Amino acid sequence: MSDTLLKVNDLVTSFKTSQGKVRVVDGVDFTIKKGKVLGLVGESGCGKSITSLSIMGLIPQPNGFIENGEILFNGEDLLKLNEDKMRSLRGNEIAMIFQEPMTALNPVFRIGQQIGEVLEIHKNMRGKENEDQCIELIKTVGIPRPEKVINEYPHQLSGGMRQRVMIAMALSCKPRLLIADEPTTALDVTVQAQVLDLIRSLKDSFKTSVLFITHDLGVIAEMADDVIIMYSGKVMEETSVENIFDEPLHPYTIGLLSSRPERIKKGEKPVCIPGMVPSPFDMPKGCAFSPRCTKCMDICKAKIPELVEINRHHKVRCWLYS
Amino acid sequence: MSKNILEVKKLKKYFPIYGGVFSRQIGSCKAVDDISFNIKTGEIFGLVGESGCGKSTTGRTVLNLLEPTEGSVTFDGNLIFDVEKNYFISKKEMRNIRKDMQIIFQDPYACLDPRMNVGAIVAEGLIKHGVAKGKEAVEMAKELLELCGLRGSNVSKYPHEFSGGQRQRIGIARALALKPKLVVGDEPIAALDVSIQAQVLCLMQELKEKLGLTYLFISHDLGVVRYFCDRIGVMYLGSFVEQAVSEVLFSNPVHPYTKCLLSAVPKTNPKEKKERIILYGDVPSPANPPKGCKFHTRCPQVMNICKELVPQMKEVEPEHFACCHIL
Amino acid sequence: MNVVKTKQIPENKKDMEEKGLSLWKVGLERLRRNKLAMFGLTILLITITIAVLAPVITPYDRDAIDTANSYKAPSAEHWLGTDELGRDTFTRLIYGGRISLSVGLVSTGISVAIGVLLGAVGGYHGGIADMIIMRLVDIFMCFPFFLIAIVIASILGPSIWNVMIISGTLSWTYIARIVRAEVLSIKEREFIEAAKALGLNSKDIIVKHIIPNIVAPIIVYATLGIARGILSEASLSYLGLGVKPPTPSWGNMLSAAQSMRSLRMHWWLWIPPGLMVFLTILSINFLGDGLRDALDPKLKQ
Repeated sequence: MSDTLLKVNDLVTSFKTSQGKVRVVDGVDFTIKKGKVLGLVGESGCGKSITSLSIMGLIPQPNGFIENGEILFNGEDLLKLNEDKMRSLRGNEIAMIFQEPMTALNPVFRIGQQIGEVLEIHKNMRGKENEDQCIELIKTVGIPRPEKVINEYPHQLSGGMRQRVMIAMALSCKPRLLIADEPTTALDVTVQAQVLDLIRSLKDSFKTSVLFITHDLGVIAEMADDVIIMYSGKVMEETSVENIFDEPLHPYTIGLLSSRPERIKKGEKPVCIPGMVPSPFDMPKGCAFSPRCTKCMDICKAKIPELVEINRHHKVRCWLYS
Repeated sequence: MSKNILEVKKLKKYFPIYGGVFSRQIGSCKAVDDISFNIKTGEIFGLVGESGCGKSTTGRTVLNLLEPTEGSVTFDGNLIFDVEKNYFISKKEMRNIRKDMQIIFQDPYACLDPRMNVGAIVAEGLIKHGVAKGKEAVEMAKELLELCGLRGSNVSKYPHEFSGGQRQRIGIARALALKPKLVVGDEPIAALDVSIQAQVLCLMQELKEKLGLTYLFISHDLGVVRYFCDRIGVMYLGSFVEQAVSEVLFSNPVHPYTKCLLSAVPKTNPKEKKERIILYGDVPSPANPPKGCKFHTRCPQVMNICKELVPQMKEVEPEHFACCHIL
Repeated sequence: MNVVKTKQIPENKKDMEEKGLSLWKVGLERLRRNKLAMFGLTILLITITIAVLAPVITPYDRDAIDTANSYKAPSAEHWLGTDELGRDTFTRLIYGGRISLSVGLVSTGISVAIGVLLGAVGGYHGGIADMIIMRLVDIFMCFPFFLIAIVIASILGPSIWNVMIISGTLSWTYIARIVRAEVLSIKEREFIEAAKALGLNSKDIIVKHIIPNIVAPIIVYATLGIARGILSEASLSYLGLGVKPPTPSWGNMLSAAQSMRSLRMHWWLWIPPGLMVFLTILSINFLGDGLRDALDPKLKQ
């Protein structure tokens, strides 16, 4: 399996709260191959952000902790590394870009300083070498007049430009894995198209693997090679992006696809998934999706289904198929 | 031909920019710059555009929540304001008309007073306008919550005890309490999860049919607008670039900006082939809009005349208008 | 008919009105879990109770002079001994508590009343009113508290009312700024716009929406302000410019025990009032910090 870059096995991440321990990520497995994009789809509360933070080792302390699991990055288990070793990986081999470009950049430092910081820490570049590389990176992400932008502050740039700066920072050390946590959700649709284009071209030239987290299936159609669907901390379906759109198996996936407003014909009522995501403090017995599932059977309310491989490269967690 | 419930003529809203030592006005942010449109009774009119195009400001100015700089708005036959003729409706009359025009906000977490319980929030309008009070108001609030898909028994709960989608429903219930004729939805589903968006749209559709509402639906999401709206107006930097019936806009867009916008929408299927028109540069600042056609700095089909002359709104085909020198 | 009903978890088939959990209840619950704050509250309540029940607790008259028994060390009859005029120290201590606590409360009351009014008006209406009020704040904040207090006290003479008024009128600026900032930020929130869209006028909005949402920081400020008031009283009375003897206050009790002889030989005259000031201020600070954490809407679990 030498083309596997990241393999997550049975990851369980929990939080200590005043109402007890709650599992936000509940036994998640997935694989990211070298040079490929894995799309992680889910709505709020499904645990997708915490999954990415678990990989980076940045779970909110002191309440968050990893209860179980392995995160194998190039064969090495990240959970067994000490903080110093993790820090040397972060920004260097594994980089992350966040949703809110407004708040992810430090407002009191210039752009050049922020990108330069990453280069200084990981590549030991200083002075003119550092500055030149910053300008190169800003050019690569398509920001005009890089020499001027280096000396500007985040508030002087638009949202799209700030997101590009974040991408520049993330890719400055040519990481092997890029984790993008809803990077275009806060952007306008034209800017989103530009940023997705950019991520795609940079991924191709640097051969970076991408874990692309989003709730937008349209973005998945644009970017992903493989897709996993998460719900209430578990993986519900895992397959290639073509399969997800052509032959979705899990009722939640089918519901998500049908409830997209652009799928509806004029005059017809939209298909809705009734109900709400359950609170992690009050999970239903059996399958977490059972209260909202149109195809719910008795066994669904009693036992949690396993993630089972149905066809080659298509896994689903549903009693309809096992 | 159904009557026009809302008529907006040459509406402008400029925000002053202050600067200098004595905070004098040194410029204006032209958020809404000469907007004209009509909404027919029972119609859903979509106002579409990207951030900073002025659509939210338009929605609020039309409801007289912001003071207009120029232009006139007529609602249900009543003139609300006409800046040129120096006519502004009296506060008392406005308060009365407010019952007929309501608004639903984008952020379900900010649009409800965190210190009031849900029943009080929904019934506030009823109590203010003397429609009901005390127990009767609470009963009506319960009915409204049920109408919007929530349980009436939740009437004593507080906003933080509900999810985003539920809070949005509470906001809708509040807007409906006074039985309005026109409801302005300012990006009402943008902040919600995808599966909840469909639920809320469903609800808005049902309520329109049940209560005979007219909507002004403000959104940046073209996918939603296509399904939900009857007619659509596309805005850029404070002005309309194109207005048409929704099917026509999507099948035959005429303005270069509309075409770019539509091409930027993500695919609905990985196998779909999409022609992307890449827009370069950033949206210019509304404090300093370009001369001539505001879109000329980024337009892939720009001509010399675009840099000098502001294009007029032309009727391309019946009920299809666009502002472009190409036509 | 495709009526979408949402489920509220846990499932509750009863149609009775479900009790709501207001933000106050959430805050109080958080406060209860804060051990330091609860400790502070307990000490405070004990101190207040003792001060209020002073006549019941102590048999001695507050000002009863008995020079034959002056400077007596603590004993079974006089739990904290007697002072230079033979008065029972314990009695004077708990009556002194009344003075100190009431000065703290009244001066805070004055500063809150002025500060909230001016801050809310300036913040909500903006424009000229705001500008004038803010310049007033700037001017008042230039006054060095003690210098002014000493000057006024020397002119008007020492008295408990002067202490309360001086303390109150010189410290309203802090709460005014806090209230103004809060009003400015709340004014822009969507639920205020929603209220306007429903037809509410300015008065309705200020009373029904803005004030309930700014009460939390006012409570926190007021609590900490009481500590400031007690400290000011202690300092002014210590300088002889506050509460006039024979009325006891913790400050003037400390003042009376200043001589080298008393410091060395009559510990019961200065340690108890000093300790009481320290304990009370500490408790109030614990409680105030706890309140701030409990009522801060941004702190999520």
